[in-house]
Amino acid sequence: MNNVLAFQQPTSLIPDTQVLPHQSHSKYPNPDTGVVPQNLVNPKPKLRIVGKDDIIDNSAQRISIEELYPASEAIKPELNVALRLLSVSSTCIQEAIELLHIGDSVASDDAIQRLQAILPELFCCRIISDSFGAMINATYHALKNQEGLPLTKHQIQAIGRAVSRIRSEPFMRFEAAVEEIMALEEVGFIVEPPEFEYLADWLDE
Amino acid sequence: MRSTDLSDFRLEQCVFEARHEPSYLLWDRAGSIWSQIRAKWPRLKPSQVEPSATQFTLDNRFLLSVFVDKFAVIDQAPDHSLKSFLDVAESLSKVATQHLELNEFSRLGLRLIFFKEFPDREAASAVLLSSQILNLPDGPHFGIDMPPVLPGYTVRWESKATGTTVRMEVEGRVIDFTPPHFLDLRPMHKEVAGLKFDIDYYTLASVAVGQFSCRDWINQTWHLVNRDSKPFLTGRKQ
Repeated sequence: MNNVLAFQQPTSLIPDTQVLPHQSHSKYPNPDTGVVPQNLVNPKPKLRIVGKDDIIDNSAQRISIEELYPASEAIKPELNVALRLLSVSSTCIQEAIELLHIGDSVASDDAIQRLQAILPELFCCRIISDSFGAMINATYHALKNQEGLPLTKHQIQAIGRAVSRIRSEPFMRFEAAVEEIMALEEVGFIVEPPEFEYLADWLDE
Repeated sequence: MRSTDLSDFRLEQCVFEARHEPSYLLWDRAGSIWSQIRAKWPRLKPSQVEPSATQFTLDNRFLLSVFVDKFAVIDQAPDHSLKSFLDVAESLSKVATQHLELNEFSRLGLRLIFFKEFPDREAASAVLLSSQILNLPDGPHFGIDMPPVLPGYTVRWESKATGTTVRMEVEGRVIDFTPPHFLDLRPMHKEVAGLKFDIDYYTLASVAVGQFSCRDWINQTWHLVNRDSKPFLTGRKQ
């Protein structure tokens, strides 16, 4: 018996998290009397001094690409150019959506054509990552394969989502890029060059 | 302040650290991680290997660590171009991110520690105080009419996304070495005094793996440090 008692932790040393011991059937203190039943440890306020060496955790918030790379002159030139061109692309897409919303489909299509003109230069920045190259390539062919047909609102929004994603995560995993490309296909885009069809047939033979 | 340029200081230590949510895949994949890194740097040597902490040294210069919740590279002899440091940090970052299947980092940090030697502590103190960044009242102080001993300051700035801590202090270093008696070597005693300039630049908001290029982030942080350190080294404008 003495041996068993020797291994029991004294009540005063129970850590704060074990406020309700398992063997206790006591209830919470009566709020009127403030009496704490036996075996219940009085909750104690915790004082924490925030000093100069404490880091404030703000990790619930996602950093923007501009905040992560504030010195654009010191990053690789391709990334710098790509971020600038993707900003212009986003503006074109935003304009296209707004113009389509007010019924000006010609001006909306004009904004998409300006986007289309930027894509070859963006493709030159594909050294950034394989995902970047794949997504820009898919967007380029998605627009080219429309063969002049105006885009629907859903299609413009899908292009907008793809451009926004590649701008915020230019180094994304390739699987994530494939998912984004599939999202373009879901709204009716053909994201591969037409020659691929013949090439596939030729390889099958 | 007479030291007007960061190039007057020697870059003593360079640390890159990435913190993330605990990834217990380390327990399964530590071997794969270090085998892949060792394939690139065959001289890698283990220094601590435990379930939640693995550390290796490289050429008695780099310390590479992968923990359950962070990975880090310390370079104890960095060059001013950071070339070797960048190569090691980029490789470790890629391999750890891939094998631990990380999606985001809760904190990225780059800490650079510079040191400039002075003949003695008093000379180093005089240079620090002449910058007038520390604006001390005239003495005597509490009945003591002497200059401050080993002065220094620490200042931190933070936005919602990033932060930086700047430490400037006078430091005295004493090195004693008594060789074993059977070796025909003289005991060594050396005292070094100087100014330590320590900058820690870090992110506070989370960073998606798809946003992060280790080489670009370290390069641009290095650029920021070089660009913005001058006021701390030249002192306040009169």
